[in-house]
Amino acid sequence: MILILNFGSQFAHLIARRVRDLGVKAEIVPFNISATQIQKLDPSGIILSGGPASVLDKNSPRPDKRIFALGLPILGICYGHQVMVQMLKGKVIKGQYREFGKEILNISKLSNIFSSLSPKETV
Amino acid sequence: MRTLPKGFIKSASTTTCLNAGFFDNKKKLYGIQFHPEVTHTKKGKKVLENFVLSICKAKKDWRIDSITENIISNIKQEVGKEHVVVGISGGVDSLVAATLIHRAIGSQTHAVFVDNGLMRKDEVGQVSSYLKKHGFKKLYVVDARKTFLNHLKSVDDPEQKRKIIGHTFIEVFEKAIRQELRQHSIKYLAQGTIYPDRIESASNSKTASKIKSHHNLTLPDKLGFKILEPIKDLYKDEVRKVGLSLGLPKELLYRHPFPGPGLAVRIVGEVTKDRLRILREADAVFIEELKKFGEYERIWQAFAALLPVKVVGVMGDARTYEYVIALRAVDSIDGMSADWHKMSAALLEKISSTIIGKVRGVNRVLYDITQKPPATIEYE
Repeated sequence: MILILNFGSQFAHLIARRVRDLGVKAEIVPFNISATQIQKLDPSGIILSGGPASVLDKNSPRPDKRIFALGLPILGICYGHQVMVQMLKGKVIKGQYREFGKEILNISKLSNIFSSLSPKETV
Repeated sequence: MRTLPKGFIKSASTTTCLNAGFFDNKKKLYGIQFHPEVTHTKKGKKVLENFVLSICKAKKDWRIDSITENIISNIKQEVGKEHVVVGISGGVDSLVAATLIHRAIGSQTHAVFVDNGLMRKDEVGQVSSYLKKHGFKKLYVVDARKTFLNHLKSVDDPEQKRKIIGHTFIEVFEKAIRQELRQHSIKYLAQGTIYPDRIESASNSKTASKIKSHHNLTLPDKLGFKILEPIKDLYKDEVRKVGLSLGLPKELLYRHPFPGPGLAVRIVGEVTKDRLRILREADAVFIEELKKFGEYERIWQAFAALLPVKVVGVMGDARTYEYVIALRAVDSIDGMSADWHKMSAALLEKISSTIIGKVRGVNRVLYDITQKPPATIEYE
């Protein structure tokens, strides 16, 4: 089972549907679920969903930081990815352009999550 | 994104985002600054598949047939020898929920179907005759058409209409339970809540269980019922697949979405008996023609709406002043955004002339060519 931490329900639902399309159970849980509760649910991995907030805002939602030490694979998407960088002591800056619509993704490492993709993909 | 945390390796970039992808393979942490779940991201599915199946090695145990079996055995276990009342709305969710419950506990199931007079043509007949044919011995169809129409008299505000319909439903449903089901001791009220109904957005922080509509809030308390929600973990498409696995006909399962307040919110302004008749007939003609030409299954949602203006026309030698019918047909993946459905001019013409020919009270048919956003799919 894959747990989806909900930072924005429209995103979380779309992710859950795609995961279920793969034949894998997906459950959406509140973003602030504790690491202990996650262990009880015993998922195979965690996805941090996108959401409308910005990590640069003081009161923006954060997951329990202990989730990064559970040894479970974690995929952060958009907001989820920024939260991960911020909480693991990287640095997020305000983008110059807002990221809208289609873009070309240049992939430099075609392994793990990008395996079987091409160096350029439309996202 | 400027600096990555220690141990992270950059894996992708875009022109606007330097670190659009990164990973730490040892700690199994991965980040991406795009949405693999949206449909225009072509390889998004592959990215999710890589993560879920190759990296997480998640078990592929989410299968419709086992989901159906599990739901049925859970109902049996939870309900035991108690009796359950399930409200039939005419829609797909309550039909599938009721069928699951009936499969699990047979004659302990009582179904109440409130005919509010606001459903599509033949809907009440179709659904109730299906249920009866399939062993629902305790199905109570309550004819409340007049009550709803009376309560809606002279009301033209959409929110007000919705409220009145919700409250009238509670009133009728409660009365039906008290009268018809008095001799049984009912312990559960079942409802067709589905997964998206229960999950609130992160901004409401404290999460989960949200209840589908007004009646579910007040009824259980008043009558001391426990709630049973057999399909609460499923998405709509999964509900349909469960329905198929139960042998429900495709024709009932794959009907287009229909709003709770029904035709009342597809009549702009006041709901009257005459307007309901006109809209119901026009809608039926529209859908029938779409089905005849194999167009229905290509469309996310198609329906007719009645605009409360009368315009001039000419029939024979006389001028007429009659209603305008707007036809709406949209393509969508999830209902969040939608595009108007492109269909042949010949088919549109056929639909228009059939409506004008068959439905008294309409002299003009329009085809709605607005996208959502900015317009919504429905009219109110």
